[in-house]
Amino acid sequence: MAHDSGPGGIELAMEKVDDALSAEDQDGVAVARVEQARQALENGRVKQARALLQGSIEEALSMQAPAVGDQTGTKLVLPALPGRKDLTGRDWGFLTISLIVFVAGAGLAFRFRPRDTVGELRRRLDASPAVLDDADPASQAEREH
Amino acid sequence: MATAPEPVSGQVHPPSRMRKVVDVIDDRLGIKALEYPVPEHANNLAWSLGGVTLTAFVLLIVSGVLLVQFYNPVPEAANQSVRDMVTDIWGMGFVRALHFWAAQAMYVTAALHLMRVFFTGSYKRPREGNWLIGVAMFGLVILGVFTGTVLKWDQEGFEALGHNIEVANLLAGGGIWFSPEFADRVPILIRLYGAHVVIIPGLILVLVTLHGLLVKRHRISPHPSLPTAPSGDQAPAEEPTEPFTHHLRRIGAFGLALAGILGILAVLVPPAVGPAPVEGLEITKPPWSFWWMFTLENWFGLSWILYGGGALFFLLIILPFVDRNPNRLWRRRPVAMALGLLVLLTVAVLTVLMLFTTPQTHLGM
Repeated sequence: MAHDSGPGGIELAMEKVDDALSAEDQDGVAVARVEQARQALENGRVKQARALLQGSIEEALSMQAPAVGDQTGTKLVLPALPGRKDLTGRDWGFLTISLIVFVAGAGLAFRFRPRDTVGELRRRLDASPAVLDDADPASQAEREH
Repeated sequence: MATAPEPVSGQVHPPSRMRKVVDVIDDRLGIKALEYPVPEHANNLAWSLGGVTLTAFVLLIVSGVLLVQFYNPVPEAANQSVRDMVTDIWGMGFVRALHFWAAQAMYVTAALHLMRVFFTGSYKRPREGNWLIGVAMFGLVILGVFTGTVLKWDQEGFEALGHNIEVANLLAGGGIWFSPEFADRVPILIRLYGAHVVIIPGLILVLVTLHGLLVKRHRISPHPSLPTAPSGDQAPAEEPTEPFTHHLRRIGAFGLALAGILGILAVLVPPAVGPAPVEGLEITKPPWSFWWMFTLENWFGLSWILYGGGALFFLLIILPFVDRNPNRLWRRRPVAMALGLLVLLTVAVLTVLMLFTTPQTHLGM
């Protein structure tokens, strides 16, 4: 439900809750809270269901050893933290500095540009009698056309 | 060694203060060895993409050094530590976003550099070895993006790890390092963290040094639309040259512009932190750079991540050994061009298709 609080997420959560209620090993789980959470889900009270489910496994979590291998180690499923928020003064500062850095870089790249474009180099080299193109005579002929 | 003042029109100009500083440093570090000549065409943007990739790598190292001060790679705390650094520590939200965008930039510029080398035939004799080093670095960049995705330890990262483990199992003994069984008393997250901050950047540093040394040894490849030297693998002596330091200067300018663009993206489009991971779910899409492989996975099953990625790298590795055409101009290389475009088109179409695909469950099946 932390990933998807819509109908799809609720349906998936209901399946998991049913699995938990029918599991043989319920050690460390407050089953009554899980049942309450199921009812809350049926009534669309997602927030309440999440809190109840989180509370129902407190004892089990406290007995959990540190995660190893590919275990998640997740004890509390936090919802996503969105990237973009309203811009603060600090953000405007970073934005201004970045813009200045970009303009400086673009200006320097233009200032340090090569004297000749590839087209100009081609014309200059093609006019040079000393230039040989032994490796690729066909492309030399193509250029002359 | 100090440079003697040059007489101009009968006058003698003393060396500038900057020149004196350079001379003093050169006496001790030999920096003027970098002033070797490179052909003028090397200073255009297409021929500078390798250097631009390097500037993205430098940005990643600088921002990464800051991130490791606040990141906790223990599974119980990893996701929360990313949230804490973004919300509670001054400027770290920007640093994390810059790191994220620099990684995207390094992937894109490395891919563009690889394409430029392919389309201009710069991998041909005697530069086959350097092509292979470049391909290896591209593989390391992909591994860096992958491990970085896992480190934030959200649902997306955990599912990426799940795919990694399944692919490792397909490789049997060859994928043992990537499996949790390799060191089953240590969280695999910590081992991937070690790979992300030490092994991968360390290997890139070694390879980039070799790459640079080989570029110096073989010299910058000739431009395919310009005449070549009689040997066919060098620019002609008649092509104007500039000191390599001028090439570095232009790369630095491009790098500065790139840093500015990445800073703007970091502020305007910072990456989210997904929900803490839950086992048994498969609901996220991978980062865009892996979409083409995951379309294959959705169609044919998880093993196609391995077949698709393996096929691409197999083609890249064998390219300089099967393409014996000495021409570099694209018009004279119809077979290589057709195959190259076909591969590019396939990757692009598979990537776009992922936009319209709902991820299917493959883990643990």
